[in-house]
Amino acid sequence: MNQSILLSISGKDRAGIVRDVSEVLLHAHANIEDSSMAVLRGRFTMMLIVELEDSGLSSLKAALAELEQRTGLTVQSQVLSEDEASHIPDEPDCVITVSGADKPGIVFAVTDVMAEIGVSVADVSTRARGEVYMMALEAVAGDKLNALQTKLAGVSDKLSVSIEVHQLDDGVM
Amino acid sequence: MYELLTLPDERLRQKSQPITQFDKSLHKFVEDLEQAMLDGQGGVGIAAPQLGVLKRIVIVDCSLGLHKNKNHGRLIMVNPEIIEQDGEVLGREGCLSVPEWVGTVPRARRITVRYQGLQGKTHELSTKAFEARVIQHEIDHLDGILFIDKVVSTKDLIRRMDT
Repeated sequence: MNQSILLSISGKDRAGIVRDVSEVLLHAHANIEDSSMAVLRGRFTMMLIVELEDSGLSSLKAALAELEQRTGLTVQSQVLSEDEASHIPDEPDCVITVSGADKPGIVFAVTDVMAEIGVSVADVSTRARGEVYMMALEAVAGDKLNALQTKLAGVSDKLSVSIEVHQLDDGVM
Repeated sequence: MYELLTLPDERLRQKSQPITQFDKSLHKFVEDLEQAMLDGQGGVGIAAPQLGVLKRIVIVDCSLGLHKNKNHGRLIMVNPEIIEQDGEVLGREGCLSVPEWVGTVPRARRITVRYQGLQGKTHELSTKAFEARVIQHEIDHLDGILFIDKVVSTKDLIRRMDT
């Protein structure tokens, strides 16, 4: 039997972090499946789902502990249930971009109206640079797109930020 | 018979050559190309290199789309070329040759495309939105470009907003 494990790893950014992590995983016979990695300011962070045989779990944990000691990276691991590991999230059908003067509560105001009508966030990035705040979200709106647009127009007025909702048409070409 | 190529087949990355002979074999090939498009689940367009034929011909039929959209029905485009474009919109694309992968791709909102018909006659067509997206995607195939080369993430979107 194979198991899926979610690893969250972060540390001070430098050349060679992905190499160090993937080297340990290779030796532990853990296969990297889905992953997402980002540099936020001076910090490198990554999330990976790795798969390995049940019998390899304890040696993987030992290898990750050794990695933490040796490199100063912070490593967390969680074993996923079979349901979680096989769950494929819905594809986003709209993109929301937000920009304006930085002030507290932009992320909350936008995601609050989304949660209120049950629109799920698929991916989000934000960036604060000086006075300017920017956010981009991918969301699964389905038949709630009109309601979402109305609600976000309200947020835009209230916070004086510009919010655009781009509906994604899709097709197989 | 032709086989639908999928990644990582190298022929999907090659540049296709213009068509100069508008003969019977071209008509026959177009039939096969269209059949391959119809056989693909949810396919609204196809380009010759997807069948391993490195010639500049595409078929687009947005009336087959899952969502209602304005379109010109079935278009057979020989030696197509985008001569005007403006605006930018985001859409979600998938490809018969890149199975089980979709991504957000920016494309021009409106395009004018010049192409030849099956008899060699030159046409110009202006279109926008979904149909314009599909035509851009198919013409990219003729130059060995796949939508995965153009996918943007939320991080990319922020970078673009910043400029």
